[in-house]
Amino acid sequence: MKLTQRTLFLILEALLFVICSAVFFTFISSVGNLIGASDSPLKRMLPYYLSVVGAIYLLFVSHIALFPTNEKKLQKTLKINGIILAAWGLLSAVLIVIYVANHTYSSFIMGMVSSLFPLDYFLLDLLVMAVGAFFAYQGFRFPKGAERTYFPYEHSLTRKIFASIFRPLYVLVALYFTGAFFFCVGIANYGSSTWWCMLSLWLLMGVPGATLFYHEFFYKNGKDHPREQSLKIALCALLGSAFFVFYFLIAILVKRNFIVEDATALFTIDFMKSWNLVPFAATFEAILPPAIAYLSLFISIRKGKKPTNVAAEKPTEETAVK
Amino acid sequence: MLLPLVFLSSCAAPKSVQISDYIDTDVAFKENFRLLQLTDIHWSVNTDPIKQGAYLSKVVEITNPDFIMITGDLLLGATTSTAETLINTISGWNKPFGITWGNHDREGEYSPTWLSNLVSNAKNSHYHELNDDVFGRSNYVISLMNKTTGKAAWNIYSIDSNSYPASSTGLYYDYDVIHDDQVDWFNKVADYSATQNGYTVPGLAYFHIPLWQWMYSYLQNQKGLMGEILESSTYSMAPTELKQKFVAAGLPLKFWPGYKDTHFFDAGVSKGVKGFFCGHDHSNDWGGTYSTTSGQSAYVGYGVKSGTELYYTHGSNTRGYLRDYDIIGGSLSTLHGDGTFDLTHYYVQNDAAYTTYTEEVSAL
Repeated sequence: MKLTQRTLFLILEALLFVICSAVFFTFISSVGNLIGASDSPLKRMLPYYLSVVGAIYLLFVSHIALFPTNEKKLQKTLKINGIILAAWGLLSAVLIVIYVANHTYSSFIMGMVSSLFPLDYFLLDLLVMAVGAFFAYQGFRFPKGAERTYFPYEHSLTRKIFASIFRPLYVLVALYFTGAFFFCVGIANYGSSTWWCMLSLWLLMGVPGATLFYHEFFYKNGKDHPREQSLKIALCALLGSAFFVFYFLIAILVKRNFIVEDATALFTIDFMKSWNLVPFAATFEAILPPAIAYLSLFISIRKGKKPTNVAAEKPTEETAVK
Repeated sequence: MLLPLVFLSSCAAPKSVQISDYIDTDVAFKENFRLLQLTDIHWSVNTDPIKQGAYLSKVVEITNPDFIMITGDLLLGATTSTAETLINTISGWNKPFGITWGNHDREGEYSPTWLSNLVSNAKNSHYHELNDDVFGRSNYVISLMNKTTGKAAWNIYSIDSNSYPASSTGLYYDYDVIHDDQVDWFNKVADYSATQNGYTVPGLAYFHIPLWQWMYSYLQNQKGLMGEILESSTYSMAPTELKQKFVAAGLPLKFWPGYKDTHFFDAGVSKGVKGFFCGHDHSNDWGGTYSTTSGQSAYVGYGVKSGTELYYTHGSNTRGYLRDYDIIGGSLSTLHGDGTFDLTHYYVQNDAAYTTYTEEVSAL
């Protein structure tokens, strides 16, 4: 895979991330209303939920395909996940057609989830289906031994299990905050006297998405980083995140009610339950990954160990290019 | 990084507002004026607008109101598409309507300004939002005008009970109340109306979150005048003062009021308000009377949750007979020229025939 092609695929992955963030943000509102409902709308909303899950699944598979650990796993990923994605997209698209045909949905542009629903989600299903089919095709016609970049995972099994649980969770939370970040531009309470407080929250919500963007485009995708350089990068990320967290905490201390004034639209589930937890979750989401990376690298350097954590995931001379 | 500039550039100073600007005199009064309260419609991204719209339209058709007052939580987790569809549905009834906001209405994919403009500009809307310094957004009055005398026969007060105050713990939100400056505003607007008309105009007050007088009345008389308290859980985070009163009475606290007692009830009664109506607690449709320290009494009660979105409940037998129907529909006040009103709860069932049950209290 040439660099230009790879960059193009990374841009497409980033675009998919942005689409998924908007989709996931609305999805959370839907789930919130689903949980509290006396009459469950689950059956009626099923194609929508399938579409959302399909899109996010595609995002995860795209990442795995762009950052494979080895040739065998890449082929397996493309084959199996490609088939599942294609089938998932097809099922969801067919369900939408059936729902329109039996008038569960009054038309292809009935509104509700969005002004173009279900047409927009039908098109999303077609995209998932098409990309899934493309992945499957690539998997079955997989030229072995071709020149590709691999990103082998070199840590312990325990760490791998933890990472396989917490990284997807981090991405899901990042999707929500990125969705809120973009929606905020359109739904902000412009003219509010607490605009500077809202700005702190807005910037904070942008941190997880920006972290992932940097990680995908510049860190993990770049050249190998020596541990000391990785430590500096982690420290910069940590200080940057700490600044945004500090700014937010100052804002909420000075104007304790600014979230109610300006940001109720962003945290539907919080306000359904009268909680104020999600903004604080944003602080953890911003600060924890660079803090963990920094501590991990710091300890490994102090102990004089082999590169650990993200630095070790860089393509090495032996494994990077085949 | 243009956002801060946009925030700054759009900071606007409140305009100078006259007290008369809050009063809408476009609706004519007639004897037996039918004022329908809808509440807690709760349309969201999950809502089937055709089914739910048909239900609400049926409630309006059955009650045949002259004016509709919607007491908040029309929306929760809605998109602009859902909000537009709901407001178009309401406008399409060709009945004048007003809205007072609930704690959840702003929790959707739109700005508060967008929502206000949507409602303000809707056909048949009498929603009134001024760029003023009074707390809240939906503070306004509809004066029902007697066309013969040119005087107001009734005032319908819409007062924003707001959403959530600053959390004392930072982790949990109480419900907000009608703020002191809103009570001051109410006194001014009621006095202005009395001066203009030459007498204290009888009124009904509509807002979303119940006052503590709901609970005081319930503690005095659990049966009240109509409806039941059917919320399934108790408000464990309620203000301590209230919880202690209920513990002392051996009753569960199944009300979700604002975080403190306000002066609004006393102020309202002293300015001619005969009935106070709220929403908020979907499963409660109870109402009773309560008296001020000076001995003047007024009705305090819940509306009937309108539609099946989010949660609702089935009737029970706490009134001494089985209310074997869902507690959904609307609450109709019939206003008389002598300053009294009758109250009828319409329980419109969500079946194919929209089977309807009613309960009534007269001459309040």
